Parts: sequence; C-alpha cells; structure tokens
Amino acid sequence: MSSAAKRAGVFVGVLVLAVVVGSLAYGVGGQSAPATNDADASAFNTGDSVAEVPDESGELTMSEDAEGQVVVIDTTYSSSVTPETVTPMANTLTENGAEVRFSSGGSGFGLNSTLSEADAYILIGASRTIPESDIAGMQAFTDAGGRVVLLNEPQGGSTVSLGGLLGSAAAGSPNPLLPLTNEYGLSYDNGYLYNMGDNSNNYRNVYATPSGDSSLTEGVDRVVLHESVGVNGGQAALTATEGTTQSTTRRSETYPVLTRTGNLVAVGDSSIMDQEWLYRADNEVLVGNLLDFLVSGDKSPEDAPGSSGFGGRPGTGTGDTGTGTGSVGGSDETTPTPIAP
Amino acid sequence: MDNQIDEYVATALQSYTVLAIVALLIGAAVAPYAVAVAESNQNHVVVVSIDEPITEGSAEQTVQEIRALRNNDSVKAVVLDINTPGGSAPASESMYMSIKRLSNEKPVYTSVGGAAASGGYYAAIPSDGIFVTPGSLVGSVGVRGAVPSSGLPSGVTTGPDKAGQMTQDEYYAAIESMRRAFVGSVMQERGDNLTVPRETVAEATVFVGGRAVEAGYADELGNTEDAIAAAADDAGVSNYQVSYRDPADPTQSLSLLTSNGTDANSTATAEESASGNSGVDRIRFLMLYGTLENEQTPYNDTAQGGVRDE
Repeated sequence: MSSAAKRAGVFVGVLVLAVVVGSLAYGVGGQSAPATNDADASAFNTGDSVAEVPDESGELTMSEDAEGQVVVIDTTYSSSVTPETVTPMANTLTENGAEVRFSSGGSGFGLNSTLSEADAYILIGASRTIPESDIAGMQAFTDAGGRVVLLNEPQGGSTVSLGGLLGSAAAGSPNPLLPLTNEYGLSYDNGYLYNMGDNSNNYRNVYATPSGDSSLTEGVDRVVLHESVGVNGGQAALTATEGTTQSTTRRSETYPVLTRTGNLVAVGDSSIMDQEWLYRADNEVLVGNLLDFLVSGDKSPEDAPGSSGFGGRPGTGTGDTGTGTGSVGGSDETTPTPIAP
Repeated sequence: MDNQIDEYVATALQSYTVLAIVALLIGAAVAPYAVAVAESNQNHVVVVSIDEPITEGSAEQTVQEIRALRNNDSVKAVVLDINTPGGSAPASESMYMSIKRLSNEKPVYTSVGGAAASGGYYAAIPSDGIFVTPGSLVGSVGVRGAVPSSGLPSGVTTGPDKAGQMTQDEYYAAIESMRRAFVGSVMQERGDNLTVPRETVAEATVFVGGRAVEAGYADELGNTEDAIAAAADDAGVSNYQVSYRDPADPTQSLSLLTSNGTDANSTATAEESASGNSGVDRIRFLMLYGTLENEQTPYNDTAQGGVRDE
C-alpha cells in the first residue's frame, strides 16, 4: 500500500470516527424495532366466539291413523317452500295411510274443486292474494269439519336498484292473507319477528315455546322459526321467546306464532315444514302434532265446499260457491249447500 | 513545485497528525448537521388514509404500512383518516388486529370523513379517540354474506362442499361467529363509552355526527387536524412533523366494490371478481355498509338499518 493510500485511509477513518463520536455526544442513538406483540383481540377468543352448527335430529312421526284421509298440500303461494322441500312431511302422511295431493294451482281447477275431494288442507305461503271464492270455499270446508293448517311467511321485500334505495314494492297487498284470516277472526302481523339476544345463529331464527295447554304442542319444548310473523286472535299455542321484536314497530312484546280457531290452525312461519328446518329443535314434534290435527277431522258433507268448476275466480265458472256460502266472523254454524259439479 | 504554498500543503499532508486534526475538525463541523438530520425524523405524527373499499389487497398494503409505523421509533403517533363503507370481512378483521397492535404501543386517533361504517368502523375502534364531523356516519356493525347466484359449477369434485358451497346451517354459523367477534370487539373497545346497549350495536345501527358522539361510537366532533393535535398531545410531543401516507393503491388490488358515495343513500355493487379470484364464484363475507345491487331489503321494512330520525 502506498503512503498516499495510507494517509487517505487514516483521514477517512478519523473522519468517520469523529462523526460517529460527535453524533453520539449529541445524543442520537438507534433502537431495535419492537417485537410483534399480541393484538389482544379478546373478542376473537372468548368461549362462545365460535357459533356451533345446530343439531338436527329426531324423526317426523304421527300418532293418528290417517287411513283414507286426503291431504292437499298447497305450495303455490309460497316463495320458498316447494313440493320437493316438504317431502318428509308428505312421506310421513303417506306412510300413515293418507293420500297426499299437491295443489293443482294453475291447472284450471279452482281451490273449491280441490277441497271438495279433500279432508285436510295445508296452505303454505302468502305470495299473492287468495281469490274471494277460494276464501269462501275454505270457510265452507272448515265449517264442514275439514282441517286447515295455514302457514304464512313474511312478504318478500322490494328489489333495490342501483342508484338508490327506492325499489319497486312487492307485488300484491302488504298482507295478502288478511281477507282470509279476517273470516276466522285472525290476523297476521306485518314485517317479521327477530330476536337479537335469544336466537338460533341469526336474529331472524327465533325460538318459540308452548303457551297454554294444547295438543298441538304436546312434547314440544322449543321450536325454531325462520323468518316468522306474529299471529293474532284465536287460541295461542306457541309464543316467541322473550326479547322477540317486530321489525316494523321495533317493539318487543309477547308474540303468538301459532294459534288455533276451530278447525283452522294459523302458523306464523312456513319454514317448519321445510326439510331444511324440520329437524331443528322440536320442530319435527310440532309438525307431527299438526299432521295429527289435520287427519283428525270428520268432514260432513264429504264433498264440502262443493266444486267451483273451472277458473276459481270469484263470480266465474259454474257452481261457484264464492257467494252465499260459509259464514262471516268465524261462526261455524252455517253449512254450505253442496252444489253438484 | 516552485510555489511555496503548494510545498507547505504538500508537506502538511505528509503528516498524519495534520490529517487527523483536519479530519477531526471536519467531523466536528459535520456532526451537528448529522444530528439535525437525525432529529428531523425524531417526532413524527403520521396520517394514514383508509379511503377505499376494504379488499384483501388494500388491507394488506395498509397492514404493512401500519407495521412499519409501529416499528419506526421516530413515529410518535398515528392518525387514521377513514372514509370507507367497509368491504371484505376477513380484510376488515385483519386491519382491526393490525391497528390494535399499533394502538397498544403508540397513540392512535381516527378522523372520520364521510363514513367509517361496518368494516371501516372495525378499523377505527382500537383508536384512543375518534373524531367525527357533524356529517360523518359511523356504525353498521355487522356481517352479510354474498352467495353465488349460479348453481354448482360443473365438473367432478372430491366432496359435496368442494364446489365452494356450504350448508345453510354452516353458513349461518359462520356469519354468526363473525358477528360475535365484531360486536364483541366493539363492546371491548368502546364499551365504556357506549350509551347504547349491545343489542343496538348488533342491530347494525348507524349514527351520524353528534348522535355518534352521544351514542359513544365517537368521542368528539372534529376533523383531521383535531385528531393530529390530540395524537401529538397524547404522545407528549410539541415539536413534530406531520407525514401523510396513503398505502392502499386501488389500482394494485382488484376492487371488491365500487361505491357511489357513503351517505345514507349510497349503494354499492359487488363485482364478480372479488379478492383477485377472477372467474371463481364463491361465498364471500362482507362487512359493508350500503345496499348491494339486486339485494332485497327484507320485507318492506322501513327501518332496515337506515339512519334513524328522532
């Protein structure tokens, strides 16, 4: 190494040393980066932070003999329940001797024609208004001893278009079943029921427990209702648990969700019949009791309400029983005059 | 060399002593400037913008920035400048955890612009203070699922759920788990401030401006400058520099959402290609304020999470 290089090295070395020592003298010092600490997101790790998938168990059974009973299942008014999804219920009825028919909605025959050959009728859903002639026919049907289970579901909402929250209102009236339930002294609430505290993994999956003493809730401890509505009137057999709130009013009260008046049972939820919800909690026990109720009627005359012929629209077709039959206000004294088809 | 001065210099440079003295003199002169340069980085309050729909990509960039700030000793406090309706649920959760780590070590304050809603509010809650303007919207604590509209993809799979679906019960349980974590975190972070019950939080209620302060969702009315001042005061620094960071580059991550704004009438549309999985349609979980295109507002209820008038 040349002496010039040595001198240059000495110069640079001393310079660097001077800068570092001087800087330290001024108090500049680096620290190592802190280690990653625990985020301490305790809400992620609490005992109940992970929701469990609910148990689905039990079997749908009936205790009543359904031999010779004709049960009509009508899903044409439902936006979610289909003949396929109520297969367990249909199979149980069939296994116990009943003849199961699905409603021939849209086939040209009115509901009265269907009911005149039936002993029991299950109407699921309320996506559109029921014609007046069908309402009168149903009333004549129950007056004659036919059994009806009416399962409502909340109305589908409006579809929101891009650009705003204003959407088109759902087709039909806000409460399509109102004209029908009024005839039985019943009414369904608007909106839907929810429970923020006591629910089955979602605020709209509310629990309901038996109220009073009814064969409809025998063996039932608790059921799960998916998107249900309250039912007013009649003899309440099932009420939503404490804390249940109605969406439209945001009021937390005691809401009956299953009620009976004579030969008609009104349920505020159609999902309990659906295989997706059938085996949750004691739903299958409740549905079994409803099937027993359906096949326990004694209809007389057997062809009530008589055939309405074709169409099923009020005031149309021959032999329409949409006028002058049945009764108003839930009275079950009037017997309709059967009309030969 | 016939110049005498040159000769003296050349002779002097031959001497190690002279060289050392010159180096020391230069070093002594430079040292204060080095200290000044170092000290200029000593006290920083950094403002981090979170002003885009939260996607996995944007969240990852923000998390990296937050980590860098956490490990930088010259950063004495951080201000989050939030204006987002939220977005992806897991991305929002990741940002929450990252910001919570930061707030465990340094003062963190949030200034809300238009909205810190849903996942955006999730990111804000670890802050030591949340500032809102009278028009800022906060809240919407909740989760929603976006389910592919198409059915199962064709092809052979090794199991019933391999096609990207899950059972309805699992779907509900998954959303419920996220809800519990979200609501629980809000109660943990804001519980002492909240004047509304847990049920109200879980209802995904939103609050605006002064009502947000009344409800305990925010602490004070103010803007970013107020948040900077509060952060610096909390950090105990009076002389500081303010730096601005906008870590999430929207062009670098596939957007989950496009938003027409974050006011009460905003809508958001979910693009099909979420989280960079172009061509793959799958269940996604969102912490998002707004109404998705074609989403149904349940059962013509007039009070579906909208701003409440009182």
